This record gives sequence, C-alpha cells and structure tokens, in this order.
Amino acid sequence: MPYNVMIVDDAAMMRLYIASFIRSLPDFKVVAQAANGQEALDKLAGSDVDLILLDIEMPVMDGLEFLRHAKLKTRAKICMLSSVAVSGSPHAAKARELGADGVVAKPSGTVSHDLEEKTGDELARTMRALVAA
Amino acid sequence: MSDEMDEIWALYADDGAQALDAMETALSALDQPDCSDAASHIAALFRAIHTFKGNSRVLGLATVESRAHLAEDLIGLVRDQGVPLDQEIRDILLMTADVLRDMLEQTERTRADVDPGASEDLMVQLRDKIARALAGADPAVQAPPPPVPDDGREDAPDIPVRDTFDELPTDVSSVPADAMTDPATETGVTEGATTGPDLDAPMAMLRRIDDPLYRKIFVDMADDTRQRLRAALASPSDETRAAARRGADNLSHAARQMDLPAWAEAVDRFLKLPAPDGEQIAALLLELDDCQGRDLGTPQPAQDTGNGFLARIWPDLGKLAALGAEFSPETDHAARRADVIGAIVQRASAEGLIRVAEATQALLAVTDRQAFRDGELRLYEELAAVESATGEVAPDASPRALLYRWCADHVFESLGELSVLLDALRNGGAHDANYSRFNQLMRRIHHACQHYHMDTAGQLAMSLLDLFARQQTRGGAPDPILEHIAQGFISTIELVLDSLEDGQEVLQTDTLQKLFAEASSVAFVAEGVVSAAAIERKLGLPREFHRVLSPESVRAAADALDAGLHFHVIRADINDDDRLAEAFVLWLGQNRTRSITNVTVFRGAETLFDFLIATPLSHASVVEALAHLDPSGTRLHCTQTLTADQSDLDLPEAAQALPPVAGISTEMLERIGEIATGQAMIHHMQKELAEIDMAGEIDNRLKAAGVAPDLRAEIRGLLGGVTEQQRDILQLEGPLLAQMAILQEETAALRSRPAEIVLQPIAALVKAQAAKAGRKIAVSTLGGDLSLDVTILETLRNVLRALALHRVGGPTLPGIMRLIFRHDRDCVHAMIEDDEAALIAPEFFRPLDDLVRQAQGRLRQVQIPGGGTRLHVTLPLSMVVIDGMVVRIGSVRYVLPVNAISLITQEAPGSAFTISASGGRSVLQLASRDLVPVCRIGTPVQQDRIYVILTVADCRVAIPVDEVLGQQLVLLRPLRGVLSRLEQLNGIALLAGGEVGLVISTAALEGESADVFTPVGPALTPATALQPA
Repeated sequence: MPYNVMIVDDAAMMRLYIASFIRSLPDFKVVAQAANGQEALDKLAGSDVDLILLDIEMPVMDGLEFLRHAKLKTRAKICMLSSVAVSGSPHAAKARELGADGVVAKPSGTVSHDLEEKTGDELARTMRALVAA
Repeated sequence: MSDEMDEIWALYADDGAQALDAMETALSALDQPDCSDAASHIAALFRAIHTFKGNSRVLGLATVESRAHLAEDLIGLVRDQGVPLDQEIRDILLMTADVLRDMLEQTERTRADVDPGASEDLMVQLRDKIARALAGADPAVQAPPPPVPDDGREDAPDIPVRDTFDELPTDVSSVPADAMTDPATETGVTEGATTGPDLDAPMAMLRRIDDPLYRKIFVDMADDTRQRLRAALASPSDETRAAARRGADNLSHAARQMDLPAWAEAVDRFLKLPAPDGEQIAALLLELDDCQGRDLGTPQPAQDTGNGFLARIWPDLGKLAALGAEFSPETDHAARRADVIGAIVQRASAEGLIRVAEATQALLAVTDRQAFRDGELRLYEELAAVESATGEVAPDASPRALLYRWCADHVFESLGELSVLLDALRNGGAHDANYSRFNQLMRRIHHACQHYHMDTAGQLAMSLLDLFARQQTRGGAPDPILEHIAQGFISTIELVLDSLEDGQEVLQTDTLQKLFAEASSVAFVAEGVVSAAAIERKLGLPREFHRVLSPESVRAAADALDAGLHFHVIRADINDDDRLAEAFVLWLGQNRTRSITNVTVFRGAETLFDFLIATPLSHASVVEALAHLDPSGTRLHCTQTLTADQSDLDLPEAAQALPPVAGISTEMLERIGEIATGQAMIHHMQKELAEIDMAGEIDNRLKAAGVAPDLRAEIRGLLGGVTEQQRDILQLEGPLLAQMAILQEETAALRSRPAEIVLQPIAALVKAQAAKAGRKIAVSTLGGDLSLDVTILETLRNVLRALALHRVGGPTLPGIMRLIFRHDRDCVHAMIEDDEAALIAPEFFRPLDDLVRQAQGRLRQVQIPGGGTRLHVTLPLSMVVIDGMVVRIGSVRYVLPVNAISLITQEAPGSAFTISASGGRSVLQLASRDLVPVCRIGTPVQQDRIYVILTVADCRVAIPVDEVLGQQLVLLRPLRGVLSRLEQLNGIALLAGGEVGLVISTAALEGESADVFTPVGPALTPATALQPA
C-alpha cells in the first residue's frame, strides 16, 4: 500500500511538479492538494494522510502557522519543502522548532522546475525516512 | 568589523524594513472602512512589531527594543483583550512605525543604540494609551499600568530554578475524585472551585498581579531592575549607579500599583541610601529574589487558571508529576498512574489533540523513573505546542514555562551528554538512535535558551538540529565543519550559562552570532559557492530576493555573471493560467535564458511570482518576448533590469572570506601543543630515569662498603619496587602520549579548509573581470583538495587575488590562466601561470613580495619559454603537526622533516672533502662511493662523523650534526620577532626536553652548498623564541 501524501503549495506549477515527481515513486500516492494552510487544514480533517509536503510562504495561512496547528491534530509526518528552507537557515530552524519532521529546500525558487533533477534523491530519501520512523 | 557582523547588520536592516513595511501595510488595510479581515491584519501587525522587537534585542538595541515592546503590548491589548482599534491607536502605531524607521536607519548607520530622549513623546503616548485601554478593558483595573523601563531588556530572568515538574499543583485532595475520571466534568461548569473561575469571588481577590498582562509587565520590570543592579555591582560607575537607581525607582512605583508592599518597602529602603555600596546593592538583589519567589514564583491555585484545555487538565498533570516523582513499578502505583493517564487521554482525545493523547498514553508503558521523566518531557512538549497554537492564556498553567524551566535546570546535563554524543557520532556511532538523541537534547537546550530569553542561542540550537537531521537522512557521520560548529555552540552556551548563574554580563553574544552565521552558510560552504549575500550585493537584488537564494541559485547566478548575461526581474501573474505558465516556463529554457530563482508576491489571497532571470537579451528584447507570450500585457511584466556592480567586483570574494574557525584559535592550538610537549618531556625524563640501573649501582657500592648481604637484599628489593613502578608509569604514559598526539593533529585539522575555497572564487573573479573587459579567459584550477590552515589560506588568498587581478587588469589580457596549489613537505606552493609574456612591474610586485616575506615565504615571477609568465608563491607550513627528527648542532637543536630524510649515516673521518674545481664546494663521499654536497648549518660540528642526508627537489644534501636526538611529533609554529627574518627556517617547535627546536626549511636548502645561515646563539630559550612579535 503506498503512503498517502498531501501537497500544500500556493504555486499551481509547483504542485504539478511535485505531483509528477511523486508519481515516479511507487511507494507514495498524492491524495490531496491545497493552495494554502487554511485550505490544507480543512482538507486534513477526516482524511487519511501519512505525509504532508508543505511550502512555507503562502497567502491566507502560511506553512509555519499551518504547522503550528496541524501538529496538534494529525499523525501525518510533515516535511517542509520550501525555497527559503536552506540547511541551517533561520526558516529551517523555525520549522524545526515548530515540529517539522523533515525539511528540504527547493533548488531554484518557489517554482522549481528542476526539483526532481536537483533535489529528487534528497526528497525521496527524506520522505521514506519520515514514513518509516 | 567581520563580514559576519556586516551580514547580521544587513539582515537586521532588511528584516526591520520588512517588518515596518508589513506594519504599515496592515495599518493601512485596517484604516479602510470596508476592511473585512481585521483579525488577520491585527495578527500581521503583531507579528511585525514582535519581529522588530526581537531583532533589536538580539543586537542589544535596548531603547529601540523598549519602544517596540510598548507598541507590541498595545497591539496585544487589541488582539487579545478586546480593546477596540480606534483611530487614536492607529495614529499612535503609525507614529511608532515612523519613529522606528528613523531608529532603524540610524542604528544601521551607527551600529549603536539611539538616544532615548528623542522618542520620549512616543513613550508617553504609548504608555498613556495602554493605561487607558487597560482601564477600559478590565473594569477591575482603575489605575494606569506601571511604567515600562526606558531601556529595559527581557533577558535572563533570575527565577530560582527548582525541579519544575514538582512545582505543579500536587494537592490531590483538593480535586474531587470524580473530576479526575468523569468526562462529564470537561465542560468546566461542574468543576466548581477546582478548575473554573469563581465568578462570585469578591473583587478584592482579583489582584493586579493575577492579571497576566500586568504580571508580565511587572516581571519584565523586575528583571530589568535586577539587570541594572547587577551592572552597577559588576562595573560601579556614576552611570551604572544612576541607571540602577532609575530602575529601582520605577519598580517601587510599579510595586505600589500592583499592591506588592514588600517589594516597595525593600526598594524604598534602598532608594533612601545616599550612595549605596556594593553590599547594599547585593542585599537589595537578595531581597528582590525573595519577593520574586514569594509573590511570583509560587504557582497559583488551579481555580485561577481559566477553563481552557490546559487549565482543565492541570490538576491531573499535577497528580501525574507527583506520581512520577515517587515512581514505583508496583501494581497499585501503576494503577493510580493509569487512572490519571486515562483521564488526560480522555480529555485530549475529546479535543482531537491526538499527539497529546499519544504522548500521555505512552507513559503507561514505561517501567522506570527516568523513562517516565523522558515521557513526561515529551508530553510537555506537546502541551507547549497546544499552548502556542491556541494562545490559551493561563499563566500558572503554562506547560511551556514549566518545560523551559525544567530544561534550564538540567541544561548542563544535556550539554554534557550532547558533547559525548558528538564524539560517538564521529567515531562510528552515526546511527539513528544517536541522531534521535541528539535531536532530543538539542531541543531541550533550545527550551533552556527560551527560558533565559536567549533568542539567538535558541535559534542556533534549532539550526544545528536541522543540519544534523539532514545529515542523518544523507547517512554517515557529520562533517568536521558541522561537528565543529556544534562543539563551539556547546562550549559557548556553557560559558553563557555560567555567566548568567554568576549574575555576570553575558559576553559571548558575538560568538553565538558568528556561529549562527556559520551554521546558516554551511550549505554554501559545502557546495563551494560564494555566499548568497555576495550575489545579493553584486546584483543589487530587490529585497524580496534577499535570503532566498539556494546554493544552486547562487551557482547559476555566478555562472551567468561569468557568461556576461543580463539580469531581469519579471513579475508573472500566471498561477491560474496553465497555458501561459507553460509557455512562460518554455521560454525560460530557450536562447540561453535561465531562471535563477523566483519568489512569491502576494496580492491579497492571490499568488504572483517575481522571476529573476539571466539572459543574453536586452531589456527591450525581453519586453518584446513577453508581449508575444502575453499579448494582453497584463500578466507578464519586466519590472526591473539589474546591473551587476562592476566597480564592486571583488565583493563576491570579500564575502567569500574564509569561514570563521570558531573555538580553535591559534593560541589554543599552541597551548595544546605545549601540553603535548610537556607530556613528552615528562615521558622522556621518566624513560631516562628508568634506564638507570639504580638497584645495581647502589648494590655495587653497598657491596664495596661491606654492607651485609641481607641488608643489601632488602635495599635491592625496595629499589626493585620503585623501578617496577617507574616502568608502570612509562607504560601508562604511552597511550597518553599517543592520545595527545592525536589531539594535536585533530585540533590542527579542525583549522584546515580545502584550498578550493580560495581557488574557486579567484577563478570566478578573474573570469568576471575579463568579461567586464569584453574578453574571455579560460581559467583552470588544480590542487583544490589540498587541506591547509586558514591562516595560510588567508595570506595566499590576499596575494593570489591581487596577482590574478593584476594579470587580467592590464592592457593585454591573457587568454589562459592556471591556478595551482601544491604541497611540498614543509611548505605550500601556489602558482599562477598564464600565456601573457609581460612580467609584473616592480612597483606592483614589491609590496606583495614584502607581504609574502612577512609570512616567511617567497614570491617569484619567471617567464616561461615560448611565452607566458609563472608566478610562484611559497609559504612555509605553520600550525601543523609534523613528524620531525631532532638533531643537535653545537648547542642548538634543529628539527628536520622526517619525510625528507633519506639516510642517517656515520662516516669515517675524512669522508668529507673539498672539490677545488667546484668552487671549493664541500662534498661527502658515502660508503657507496656516491658524492653528496655538504650543507653546514649553524655552529661547526665537533667532528664530521654523523650526517643526515636529505633529499630536496630530487637532489641530496648532507648535513653534519653532533648528535641525533630522536624523532618526535612537533607543532610547527610561525617565527616571530627577530627570528622572522631568517628565511632558512620554517618555524620553531617546542621539544620534548623543554628546549626550542628550529625547524629547517628544506625548500631553502635547495641548491645551497655552503652554510645555510648564521648560527643562532645558544641563548635561544622557549621564553625568547616563543614571545609574541
């Protein structure tokens, strides 16, 4: 049974890139997508999600605020996937403080068309480590 | 000022400006008559001012912080206390934004706090409004709030730390038995006096100190006053004493307002003293501590904590803490734990708080007290998350505060364990269990930092947690740089906490900031690219692109700069137009156009993007291309064309200044070297002692003196025991010596960096400079993996950079350049080779030559046959551990690198002779009939019998010596003072016998045939040789 993934990203193109990448992983399946934190919280209720890939900078409710709330009421692992989450950066530190289980930086901006090429291995490894934990 | 500090101030300015922009945007939105989402704008307003305040605090800008703090309090009243956001508040906040913007500009310029007097009006208005708002918000409050200190700080509250979980309400008898297990009581209505507020309580019972906002303000004031008093104690001066008196005066006033007579009396007694001395200040501090413990440190009864989730489970948590403190595996005890755990799980599940329920449930399975405590901590982390997310205000039912205090109380244990864990991770223990424990401990240290309001340290802890967690995913041990930052963090935090415990000023703020900057730039260093800030400055990137460049984006931007491409910013409104988005992305991949990065720009709930692109196209061509893609002209705009700052070309490299070597200074390395040498010296003496046949010698003399055999046997036995012990000591010392040698080498290795971090930026710089001149140059590098001490790298960087820039800055440019690093026994060679024949003019060459000579190095330039020039920079290695052969010549000890020695031989007298045909050159004829030139060092030896044959640059040279003293590892130190002029020496080393050895430069022996240098007098001692220049 593949693990269920929710993608939360305000950039429509990025959601497409991420979904396309996840389709290449046989052990994961995209079951929900949301364009901001609030929409994700609404969709999370009652859903069976194992892993959330979460952008940080989004309108209405940003990723950190979503993280703060979602961590209380879901068992799903949450992996930040954001261009501002470079290793050891203040954003990455804040995400860890709020309980992000994993953090991966998008390689070339909020819309990273080269996600699979540049960060695919790291993202897949992180996703697998999180669901296995 | 270091680059890191420049960067921190730049970040402060950026963040501050962004926060103030956000503040004004929110105020402007709130000013609209049809503002429909006031709550989110107020939240944004609060976040903005909170960020601004925090940043000001980090940089020690107390006045700026205090103004922001008051504004935050005022917005907090609107957000949390239902105070209406009237026109007056909006006006005051707009004025605050103006004043803070002025302060931001001034502090960025001066890097110092502002004059408090200039913003006094604003303070008065803010205080006045807060007081009136409070009076209106809470009818029980009639008087204005106590004044907030002008230059107050929030850090380091001196609350006595106890075993925090035991402070939870543990009076089980005060809780009705059914309230523990009956879910029907969850509404809080039927919980009566236990958990809900007593609405019939007389007003007199509601003291101001019980109001969370008043309490917070008062606690802040008390902390501020204590800080001032400690400062007056530590550095008595008119200024510190006056500041302490002002703080005390404010506190006295506030204490009366808060109805805390003991505080007021204590402070008033102090204020009556005409010139309080240190003892009187210390006495007041003690009294304030007592007051704090009595009035603020004691948990309030549960009934005062409201009726939120946390308040409702508070009594059960108290019982759980009590049961944990007396943990027993007995059935009866386990049953009682199960009851309490069940009650909390039920309440958490009813609220949908899955993780709280699971963390509580996990406590059922534990079998010992330690595991219970760990489980309890996990539960409190979950509860703290609830508190943070729900904003439940229950000051005395704050799991976050308890968690922080517990972690602060146990922070030294956590730091100690963390240090051990780091060793384990390095030495083959890089598995998940160790990484998980690292994560857990770092989190605890973060909480402890929160307790002490050490924001930078807290952030750094999380930053390290992030870096190590990513390393765990990649697999393997953390790399040395990462490990080094973590070790530096641990040592610094220990120092900071020691200072706090002793009530001293914390002096390590800079170190923490540097470590944080280092941690934030690890990804860039690891990728070998220039820093994001360098690209930001070079391109003059708009603010939205600051701090978002990934290492990949930085590399792409650097390549685009090398290629001489143009940079444009394109605003793209394509999020809901798939066709246009696809066409735009397709265009980005064409005609050498590339997307460097992109950021989101919010327009209400819509997402737009700003793309930073690099392209050979001009602005006009880009505009034309966008018009083709978007004929409506509404979705794609080229908003800006950036011009790389050509006059500032070396900025990228300046930003590339070598990463700091936190914690391992040259002095520290030298000190470790001295300890190692001392240890070797003791070992040497012990060995000499052990080699004496003391028992035999004494026995012979006793025998000769006619001492009776039985007495001699007894003495022999005694001496035999001593000799045995000496051998034991020698045996024990063996591994110790080996450990010291490892420590020396590892410490020296920690200061090392790959030469790549110098070569690559210079190569990029050369290409950029050539591109600026409209030319192309092919630059290649070799030897980037050579690992060198940062001090040497820094010298090489300065020299090579100047030389390389000079080569490409002249009228004729080379078309090819090679940058090469090479390591040769005891020196490092760097070379710049190009195809331009003209040598560098003396007036430019000479200052660089002087610079290299100061570092005991050599700079040469030679023309290559067939055209081209080669520039050689040779620097002796220093601060490295070398394997040396110690020899004595006259009374001076020299160290020769073991790896250069091909033979040590004792020859018959007359083996060395002079060859007249060779200009009187002295040669040694070996037994093999080979002839080797003799090179005499220092004082002539007594007899030319012992020779050390060195192989230098494929040639051999024989050095006559008086004695070969032995091989040892030595730390090569740079020459200082008068010795620095001796080019034939590579450095000095402290030897095992306590003497100083002169380390011969084998490079200097190259081609030498006569005495290499004038003898250095026998007066050379550690004291003279090691003294600073």
